[in-house]
Amino acid sequence: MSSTPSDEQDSGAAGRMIQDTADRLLRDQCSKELVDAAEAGTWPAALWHTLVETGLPWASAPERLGGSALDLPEALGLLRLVGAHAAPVPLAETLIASALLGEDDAVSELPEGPLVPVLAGATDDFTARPEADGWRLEGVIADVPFAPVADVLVVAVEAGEGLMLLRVDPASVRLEPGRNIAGEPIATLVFAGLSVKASDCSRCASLGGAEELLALLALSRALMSAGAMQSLLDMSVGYALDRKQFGRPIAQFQAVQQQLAVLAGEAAAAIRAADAGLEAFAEVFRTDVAGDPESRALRMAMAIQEAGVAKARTGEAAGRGAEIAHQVHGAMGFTYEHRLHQRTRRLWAWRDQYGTETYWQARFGRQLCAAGADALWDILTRPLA
Amino acid sequence: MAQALVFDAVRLPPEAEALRSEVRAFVAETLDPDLLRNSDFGSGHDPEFSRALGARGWIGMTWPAKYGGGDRSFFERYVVTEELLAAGAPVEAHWIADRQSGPVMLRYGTEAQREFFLPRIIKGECFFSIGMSEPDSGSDLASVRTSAAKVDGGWVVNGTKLWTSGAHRNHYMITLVRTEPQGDNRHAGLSQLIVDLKNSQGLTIRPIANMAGDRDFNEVVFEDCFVPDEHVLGSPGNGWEQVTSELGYERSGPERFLSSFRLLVELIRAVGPDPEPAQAAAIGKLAGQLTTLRKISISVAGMLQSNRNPIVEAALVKELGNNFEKELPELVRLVAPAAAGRLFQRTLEDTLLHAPSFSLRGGTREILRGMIARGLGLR
Ligand SMILES: Cc1cc2nc3c(=O)[nH]c(=O)nc-3n(C[C@H](O)[C@H](O)[C@H](O)COP(=O)(O)OP(=O)(O)OC[C@H]3O[C@@H](n4cnc5c(N)ncnc54)[C@H](O)[C@@H]3O)c2cc1C
Repeated sequence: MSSTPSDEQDSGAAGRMIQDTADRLLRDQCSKELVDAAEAGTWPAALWHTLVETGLPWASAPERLGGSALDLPEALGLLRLVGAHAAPVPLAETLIASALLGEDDAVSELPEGPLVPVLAGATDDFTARPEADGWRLEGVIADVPFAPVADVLVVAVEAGEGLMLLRVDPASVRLEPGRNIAGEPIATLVFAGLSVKASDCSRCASLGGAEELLALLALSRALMSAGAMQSLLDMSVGYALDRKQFGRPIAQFQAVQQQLAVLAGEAAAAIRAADAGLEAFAEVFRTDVAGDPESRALRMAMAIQEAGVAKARTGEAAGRGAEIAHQVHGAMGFTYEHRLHQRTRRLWAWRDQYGTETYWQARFGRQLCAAGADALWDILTRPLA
Repeated sequence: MAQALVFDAVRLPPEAEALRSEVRAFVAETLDPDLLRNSDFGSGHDPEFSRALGARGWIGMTWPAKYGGGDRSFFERYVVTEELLAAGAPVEAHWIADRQSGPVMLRYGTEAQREFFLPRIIKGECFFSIGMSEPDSGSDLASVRTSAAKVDGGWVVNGTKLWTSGAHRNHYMITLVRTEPQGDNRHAGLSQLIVDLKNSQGLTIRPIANMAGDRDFNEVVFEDCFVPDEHVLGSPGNGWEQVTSELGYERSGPERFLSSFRLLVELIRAVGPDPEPAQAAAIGKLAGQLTTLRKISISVAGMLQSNRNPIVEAALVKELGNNFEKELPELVRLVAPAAAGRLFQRTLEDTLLHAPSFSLRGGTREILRGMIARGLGLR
């Protein structure tokens, strides 16, 4: 919301409708049992099918691919709901990959199943080389979230000035599957000299390099974490009002109140930081400035900075927030039966994906040091756009 | 989430951003570059600087033009305050008058009081103190015992105020007193008086040195001190409502998270362009937390601009902000280079020596957390 009203508010109405639909749908479907089953290895086919029917996973893909052509940042707002309801599906992955693939007119259809972006990290021993008809992939990429349930892997590689997106059939890659602390499927991918035909390669128009995609993926985790923080706060306040000890609700004990106030502060900071990351990315995807490279570069630098702050701040909030939520819930929250851990374990998993707090803080810190002490305040107060 | 704790995205409007460069230019040409800079709003009392700000229209910015105010938005005021603090400008003299005494007078004062005080505050010529705390009344403010007894034409005040910042330098103090004996409702029977600190009989002001060696706060003793009727702020008996509203202005501004800011600047200077990993991470962590706090605080400025009364939100800004201000020196010292230099060392020491006060003044951390808990529906 801008302080000055503008006509952006009309286009926001479609976004809000999609938000409401998604909220209802995920609330109804993501029962404790469904999430348990997904964590035990059962793909939640019915949930995914319902999402497919509403078109949510392709909300930002162009209409020719069955999408609703919603601005990607607007669609990413949905991810708070994934966090709030602990939805065990790669909605973030598919939203982002389908939007980016859709920028290539040569891509004529999308599969019904999940799309999963794959991005090699600094510690992965992985190389991608252009060859006569396409690209050749060699090496290992560790712990890719949701790779075991991907219909298509979308491997992002840097190509000169930009980013190439290679569509890879998971069957052509050796997958070493596993699960993270949240029971989400992950896999280490082993590419043994895999050739990807040029017809399966798309140049990514909106992102200029691996770091930009990393920031977008990090922002997805920040948004999911912000949603989960909100849910932790709601659950903890509810439990404190309900649970009685010494003849009264534990909410009446000052020690409990003080802890919940801290949790509220962490939740507020997480939500504001994640939303700010989204606002910064919205500036990059604004169609009216897409053509001006200089302005785009400035907007993108800001978006990466804000996404990094969002990822780091939500990661900090996750640790503190999960600690307080569990303390307030007592032994009950430590049981498998309770759904609190479906949120807290996801917060712990997400803070480690696509760059930890330290990764993004150090990146920002290096940038600030390079700019020098007297530029600090100016950088911190620079407005969007 | 409880409705009370939603912080909408708010962007500063262009006229507020435009003001930023004006303030920067002014600060650059006015401030002595060799001064030890400190972003703590309570650390530099300079009436001349305050008058210069007044001349530029940067005091009472949001107040109506008919009193000499700027009729400007809370966003513009926000930008001016954060720029001054970040630069380490000596803002102490006019700070309280601008932040809370003027606004409370606008809301509750008589027309004569507004016409007399507001133009003077705006010019940077009239400074205020806060007379709330007493020897036996800190967090429990409603228990104040300083009393005012009705006499012909005014009130006779007896009692002691404590920790009164700037009382030895400022012109007036808005003083919370009991005007009726305490009954069942402890919030009833309180009033606010505008006490003239320069020209009153029966008033003794004694500075108290703090642990950093500054003489900033005071003990103010009233012995049959006469305050005329026209210096009763608002209506007698309405003191509790007024003082609560006054505290709302106190808590959401950038002074609640910028107090240690200059130390981060000096850390970056000491580290240089090529930081160690731990230094880079600490700097990025603090800077990221700061930008997030700033966004939350701007969101509260938006609530003020929309005439809302964000008491709980302000408490949350202060609680998060104070934690940040206090954690900053702790993190910085652990990553500081071995030979960081005298300027860095002095800034670190200055910050550490003032840090204990951050989560006390303006309401303690525990009291603020209690207010947030109330906002969450826990009490
Ligand atoms: C630098 C500085 C400047 C100040 N300037 C002014 C000024 O200009 N004017 C003015 O009026 N006052 C001023 N104060 C006073 C300030 O408002 C008080 O310090 C504050 O309200 C706390 O009161 P106290 O110090 O008496 O502590 P107490 O209220 O005695 O509290 C001591 C400790 O007990 C805790 N505590 C108290 N009650 C509770 C409770 N119900 N639940 C849980 N914990 C509780 C507190 O949180 C604190 O940790 C200033 C203070 C400082 C440090």
